[in-house]
Amino acid sequence: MSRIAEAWFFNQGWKPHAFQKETWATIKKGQSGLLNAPTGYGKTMAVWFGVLEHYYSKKYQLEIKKNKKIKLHSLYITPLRVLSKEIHKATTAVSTELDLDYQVELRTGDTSTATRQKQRKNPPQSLITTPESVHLLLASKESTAFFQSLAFVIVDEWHELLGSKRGVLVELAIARLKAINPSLIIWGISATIGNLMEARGILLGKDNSGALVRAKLQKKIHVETVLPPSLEKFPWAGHLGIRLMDQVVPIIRAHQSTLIFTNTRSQAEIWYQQIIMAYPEFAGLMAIHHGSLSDEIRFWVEQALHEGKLKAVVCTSSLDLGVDFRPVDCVVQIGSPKGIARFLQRAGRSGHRPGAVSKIYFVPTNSLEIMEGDSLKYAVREGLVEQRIPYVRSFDVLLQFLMTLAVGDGFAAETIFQEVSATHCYESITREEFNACIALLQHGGQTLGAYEEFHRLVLEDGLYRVISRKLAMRHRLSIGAIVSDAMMRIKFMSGKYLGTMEESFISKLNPGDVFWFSGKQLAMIQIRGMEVVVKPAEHKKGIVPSWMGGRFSISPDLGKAIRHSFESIHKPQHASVELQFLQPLFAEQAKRSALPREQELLIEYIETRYGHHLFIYPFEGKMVHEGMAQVIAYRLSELQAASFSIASNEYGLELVSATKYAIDEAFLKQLFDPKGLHKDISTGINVQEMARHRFRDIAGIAGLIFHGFPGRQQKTKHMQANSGLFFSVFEEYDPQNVLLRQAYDEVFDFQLEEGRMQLAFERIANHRIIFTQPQKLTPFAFPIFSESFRERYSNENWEARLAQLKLQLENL
Amino acid sequence: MREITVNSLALQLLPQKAVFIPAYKILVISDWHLGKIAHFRKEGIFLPKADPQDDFNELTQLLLQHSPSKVIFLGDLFHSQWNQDWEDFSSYIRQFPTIEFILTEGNHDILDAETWQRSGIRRVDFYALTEQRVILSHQPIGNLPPDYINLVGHIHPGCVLQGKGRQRFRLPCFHWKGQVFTLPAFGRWTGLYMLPREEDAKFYAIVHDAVILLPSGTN
Repeated sequence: MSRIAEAWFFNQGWKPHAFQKETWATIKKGQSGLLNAPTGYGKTMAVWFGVLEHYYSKKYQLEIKKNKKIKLHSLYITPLRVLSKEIHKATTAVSTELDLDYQVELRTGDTSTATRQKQRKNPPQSLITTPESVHLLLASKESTAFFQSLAFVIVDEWHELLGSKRGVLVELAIARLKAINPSLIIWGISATIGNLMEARGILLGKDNSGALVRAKLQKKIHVETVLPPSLEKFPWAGHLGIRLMDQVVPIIRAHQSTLIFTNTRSQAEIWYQQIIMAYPEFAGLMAIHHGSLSDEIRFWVEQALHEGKLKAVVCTSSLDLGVDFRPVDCVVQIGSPKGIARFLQRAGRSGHRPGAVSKIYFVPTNSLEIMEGDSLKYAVREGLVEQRIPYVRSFDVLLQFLMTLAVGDGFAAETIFQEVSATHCYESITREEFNACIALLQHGGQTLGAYEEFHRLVLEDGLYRVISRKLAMRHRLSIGAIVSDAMMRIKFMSGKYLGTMEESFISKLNPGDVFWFSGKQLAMIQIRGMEVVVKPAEHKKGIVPSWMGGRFSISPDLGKAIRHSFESIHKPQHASVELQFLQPLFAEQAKRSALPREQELLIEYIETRYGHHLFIYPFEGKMVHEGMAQVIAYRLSELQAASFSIASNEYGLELVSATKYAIDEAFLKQLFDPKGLHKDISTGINVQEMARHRFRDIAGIAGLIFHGFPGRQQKTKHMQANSGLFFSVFEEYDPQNVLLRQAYDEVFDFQLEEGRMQLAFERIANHRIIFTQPQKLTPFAFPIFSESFRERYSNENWEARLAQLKLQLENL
Repeated sequence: MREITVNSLALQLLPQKAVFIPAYKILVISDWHLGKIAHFRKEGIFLPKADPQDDFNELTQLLLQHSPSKVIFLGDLFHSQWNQDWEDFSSYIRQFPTIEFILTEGNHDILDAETWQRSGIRRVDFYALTEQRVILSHQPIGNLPPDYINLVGHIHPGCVLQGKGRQRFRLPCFHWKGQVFTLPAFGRWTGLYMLPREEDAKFYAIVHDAVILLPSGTN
């Protein structure tokens, strides 16, 4: 056991866990690795004492003496600034308590310029930071020298970063840091995910085997579904769940402190507002917390949670990660959590004391969703948990990275190609593709007819650099892989800052309009540049801002659990509380249409005033349904030209057309033929439309779109454009462009999931089709019918659709 | 094509996003934003080079079809500061010595006087057809006498249409409300500004190859 750890644990009066000891021993051997442990059990300390032990080893101390100057020894990367603060507090405490000269400092987006400069000149032993900040360090001059003596990189919550492009930022940063210091020790900390081994491989790199340390601690989770008083009065469709407020309030009362998780920020605002209005006694005892609120407000809420001053906090994923709030003993999840891992993570926010049970209540927002309570219990029981699928071949992040290096010390193409192609993300890129990226930055892609006026990347003495100071500054401001709409700052007249909101919402408001934000009623006074000045408002009904984002599909594993629940409908003797409760709904479904069994596929054809609706229920999850819907729309149109609008949810899909089809079972069987599926996907689906949508984020990350300097309106004149325009320009003049191809690849890999679709078609080919033509919408159909977010893909080309529209208009 | 009459002046609304005035043989083109892609490139945005000839071809088609004696650009002809695209455009219009090219200046037209002069395009603040009391300008002119109609561009009008089967379309349109008649943007690389469907406004949407007057008040 580590000497330092021994002293510290002795002082605290604690005993280390087995996984902590194992981690210390592994680090002592100089090995890298991945630690799999739940939050709240000292995972940070498991790695941290390894770091300290290494620093105070004779060998490293000797090196320091040789170098005279103290240099950076470790980097601790976390996905969130809040988390960084917490880690900073904990690690600094260790140094203080043990009287060590190991200095730890924060380096995030919040760090002041003065502190940053000080850190550059006189670095502490350790920096607690985020992936973006590491890239910012790489984008500064003499970054190579700065990292010269770096011995450790620790990546916290790696599972959270892995499935995102921020994970790619981490991969690239580590590749660079490893090149600067080949003996670098790398540790990741991850919650349990379906592909832990792969996660380790990606973090450490393929040339680095490393250890996998697993904490064998099992936390007990208690899941309970909040049922409405009666099924009849509960809506068939909906996303808010506010009708169950009166059932949720007693839960809050019965516990010391409750976190109420919602899926979107607007939902959080609504829940907060409704509870306070109906139960004014909670005023002052309840708070709201989401990503758009100012740091100050969020900090206050977190502090109050720690101190046990709050009875409840309505929050979004902003409280998924990070700090443990000891007083929290209950969690409420409003609506589908969309994934098992997220559900478990949220459940884990309660009951932090050793041996305590994590308690989570699931609040369904519509009647069919009640069933998800059954599915979630099944998933928890069976230990189902999702994989995190890493991004590959993300040329947008690569372009950003190349600019980062060029803004910093400059880069040699060959060296960086070797480093980059050793990462998991870019292991398959060719030298040609890499060169194409450089060419893009150098002269917009085309080698012929290059414009002399284009200056982004310049080759000087074998190194690619950015010479324009304006471009360098612009790049530093746009480093990162999170893309969001232009945000406006919300302020009181006094200057007090409340938070940020999407410009698209603000632009719909007129002075005097009242809206809800941060749990307050606010009246808009005026807009000044990127700031919205507001004052508190009374006696008026406000509108709740709707935020973009937060719209994710259910995970494949939760989909699996949901299908299991559907199969259980027909086994009433084993049915759970949820399924028993839903029996009348299933009876209604059977009465109006039919209730499919395991080997059956239900298809309904219903006419409403909106058109002719074809509902199909494969229970494959939203993602697969979207693709399926388009393939089927294509196949239908091969038989009779038409265009459809498409909607889908976790259970099924809907095709709406203006014209009626003659449909029977044989015809339907034909639609689900697995033969020729690949061909129909590529020709039938409007992949271009989907790619155009994907391109938005890609263009933002690659640096095609600049959102302006923070707090200032975009000064650069005549530079307004959207990614759709760029997409069209590339399509027309550079169809082989790497970013364009990436957009299409992401569509096939992440959106269409061709593999899963093929399996679904094959499964359905063996099913018996039950075709019904109900008079009214059925309980299964209604939630899909009312999906407000509709895809409008058409199998016809744009021109043909317009021609059809023309006909409709002329016949009016 | 669709013909309408404003103040006894016949206007042909063309699906190519332009207006032809037969009485004067004037072709009106608004918000072309030439040189936009090149401008972005110059600012360090790595777009491929767009071929300006593709833009010119669209105008050539219109010139051949309607044989105008005047072409009036209703402002925002060139997107920003000078770049090579401007020279290409200048030599392109020199191919039509019999046509007079006039620009009613827009907020984007910031080239210097000398550059304009070289191109042979006459620059004016507005262009008036006094007999029919029709005035052409980039943006609406304030305090217009009540019996005048103002042909303008500037906002790139668009509208949202709901088709059957729950389909939605965003389409460019001509927009007429009160004294102001707004043309859609001619340029290929321009966006749309969606206008609310007010009762007292007329929308002529460009649908495929036709210009269609939308029934008032729907959607």
